[in-house]
Amino acid sequence: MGLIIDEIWKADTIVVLLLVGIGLYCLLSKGNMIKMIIGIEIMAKGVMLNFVMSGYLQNNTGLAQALVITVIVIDVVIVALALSLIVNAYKHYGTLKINSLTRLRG
Amino acid sequence: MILPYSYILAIVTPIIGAALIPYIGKPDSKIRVWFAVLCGFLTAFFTLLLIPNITEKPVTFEWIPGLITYTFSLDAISVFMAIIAGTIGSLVVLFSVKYMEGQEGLPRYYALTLLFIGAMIGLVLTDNLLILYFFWELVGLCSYALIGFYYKDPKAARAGMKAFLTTRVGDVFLLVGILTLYWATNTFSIRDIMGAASTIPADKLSLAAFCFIIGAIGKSAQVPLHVWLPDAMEAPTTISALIHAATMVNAGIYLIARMYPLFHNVGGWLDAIMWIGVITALLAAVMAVVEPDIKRVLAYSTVSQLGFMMFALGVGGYFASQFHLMSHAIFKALLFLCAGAVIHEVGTRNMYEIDGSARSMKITRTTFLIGVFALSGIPIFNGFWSKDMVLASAYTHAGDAASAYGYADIGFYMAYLPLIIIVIAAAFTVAYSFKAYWLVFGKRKEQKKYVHEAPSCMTAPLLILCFASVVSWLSVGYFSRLIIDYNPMVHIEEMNVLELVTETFTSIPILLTLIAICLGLTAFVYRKEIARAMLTRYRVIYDFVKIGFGFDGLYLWIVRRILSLGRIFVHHVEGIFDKFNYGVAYGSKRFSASFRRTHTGNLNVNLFGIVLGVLIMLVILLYVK
Repeated sequence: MGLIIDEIWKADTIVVLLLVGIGLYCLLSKGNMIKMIIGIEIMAKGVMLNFVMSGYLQNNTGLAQALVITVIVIDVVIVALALSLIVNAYKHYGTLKINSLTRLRG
Repeated sequence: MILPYSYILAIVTPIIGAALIPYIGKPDSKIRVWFAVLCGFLTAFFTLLLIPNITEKPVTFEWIPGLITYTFSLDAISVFMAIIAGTIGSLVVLFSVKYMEGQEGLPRYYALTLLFIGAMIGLVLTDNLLILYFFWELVGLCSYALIGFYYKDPKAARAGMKAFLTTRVGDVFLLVGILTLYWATNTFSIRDIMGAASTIPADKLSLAAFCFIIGAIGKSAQVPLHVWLPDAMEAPTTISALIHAATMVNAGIYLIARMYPLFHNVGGWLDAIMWIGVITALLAAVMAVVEPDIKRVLAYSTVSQLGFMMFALGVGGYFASQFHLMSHAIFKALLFLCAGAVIHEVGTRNMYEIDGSARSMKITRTTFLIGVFALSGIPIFNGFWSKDMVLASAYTHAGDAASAYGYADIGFYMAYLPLIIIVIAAAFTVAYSFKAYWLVFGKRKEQKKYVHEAPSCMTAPLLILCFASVVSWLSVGYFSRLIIDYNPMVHIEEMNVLELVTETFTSIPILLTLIAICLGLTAFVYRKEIARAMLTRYRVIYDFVKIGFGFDGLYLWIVRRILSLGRIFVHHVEGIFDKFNYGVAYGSKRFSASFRRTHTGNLNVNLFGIVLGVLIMLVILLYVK
């Protein structure tokens, strides 16, 4: 049993790190607003997976699942809000590039 | 005690009224104006209620219990000054209803007027020198704002500034005096300071004493700080009446009278006051003779009469000065309000332009004539009794001072010199006041134009004040009794009306009064000859008087020198400070500019910064336990 848990834990950690890494890379490298939202979402999924895993490890799956479901719902809201902002920004500026929104010239 | 705390109400009513005025009624509404009148009369009522509350002891009132205690001084002279400020102030406010009708900025006018009255009452009723100084400044501030009431007229704005700055010279010295007394006795309470008078070192006491004189001559417009008062005539006439009769200028006399028991033993103090008073009385009376503007004539007359009061204090006539102050407050308010009525109806202040056309204003004419009688000291009017009292104390003082010398000694004649000058000043008083009456109301061969009498709410205060000018001297017995009972630190003789009458008419000083009146009337009768001589042969003297003995020119010269000194200072010294400041400014600007490159505004770069920060924190958390 212990061995299996160990294996699962290791695999899960790798997946989580992968997801968060992909999300971060996406955020850092992409200039497109839609792609940045996707990056954020990927990161968020990694975090959720981490939650489920830690709940399982502590024998508290119920709490972890409840939290994750809440996070999913909030995530949806964030995506909806972000997309609506992006649509408006697009209408206003005619582009999806995040850097074209910069007004401040340092 | 008819009404407890009426001393607080007397101070608070006008001040609260002043604060409420802007919020009452619509702009230009009648309600606001009559509210101001109501506040004024309530104040007068409360000050009159103080009479049965007069007490020798200080009255304390816990403003914030345990923290701030306000000590009132409710003795005879305080209450007496408060009554003058309250009653004459209320009559002035009533007079303003018609006089100021339709003017711009009425809320400001009424609020400041009430505040002015409240500040004056606060000044005279407090026992604490620091609070006295606070109200002293408040009175100065109100006078500044009201003298410059027509602020769109640059002349008025400048006059307000001049009054403020000139009195400021005195105020600084007053503050020095107050702090010196505090330094010596560790208390601000006038009563405690007087109690500890014997412990004050002589040098500090005389420093404080002379500082108080300078404070008083600034406020009471004595030579050489009198220059602001004639210019203050740019104010509305009602304000002039208030400043001259009820509030501002009496503060200086009050201060000297209040500190008199403490300072009168300081060497030279009384002599200084006497000489300031006598010189002021003469110079101002002379300047009043050549002045064509009716308000400025009255202003110089006030300066001169204040000189009489100072002089009376200086020669030891404590009661005479207070008595003259009361008479003067009444008849000067009367004269100013009459002048206001004339200016309101005729529309000019120049007496040569009025030229008798106000003769058809019967009530104003009669009351002005009575005011002139009182001012020039014609028997049975209140000015006669008080001025005679001043001359009597001067006569006694001169006799005492001269008795130390023989007849051949120069000191003998020096001792009589102030007396002679003051009689000449009284003669000039008669001359200019009759001249003013004749120019404004005198009979001409043909009446050029018909002028209406002023409305009744203007003539009512005139009639009240006129009545008071005739009868106020009857209060002499009561008034002197109150001072004896409640101001034990000053020593005066009690007088009742009968004694006053018999003593006045049987002693030598009555001759001095009569000489002054005769001289003045002679000068008035021969005015044409005198004027011709002055304009031709003695042109130099005339011109010198006309420019006000050159005081204004002198001050202008001094101010110009100071300004040019300041410019030199700016030129040479300010540059050094500037360089330092500019150096700091440029340095920080350049230092910040070096960070400019890091602020790209690129979101990815910012995010990278965030991630880097998180990583660094993780590393720290890992390795630093």
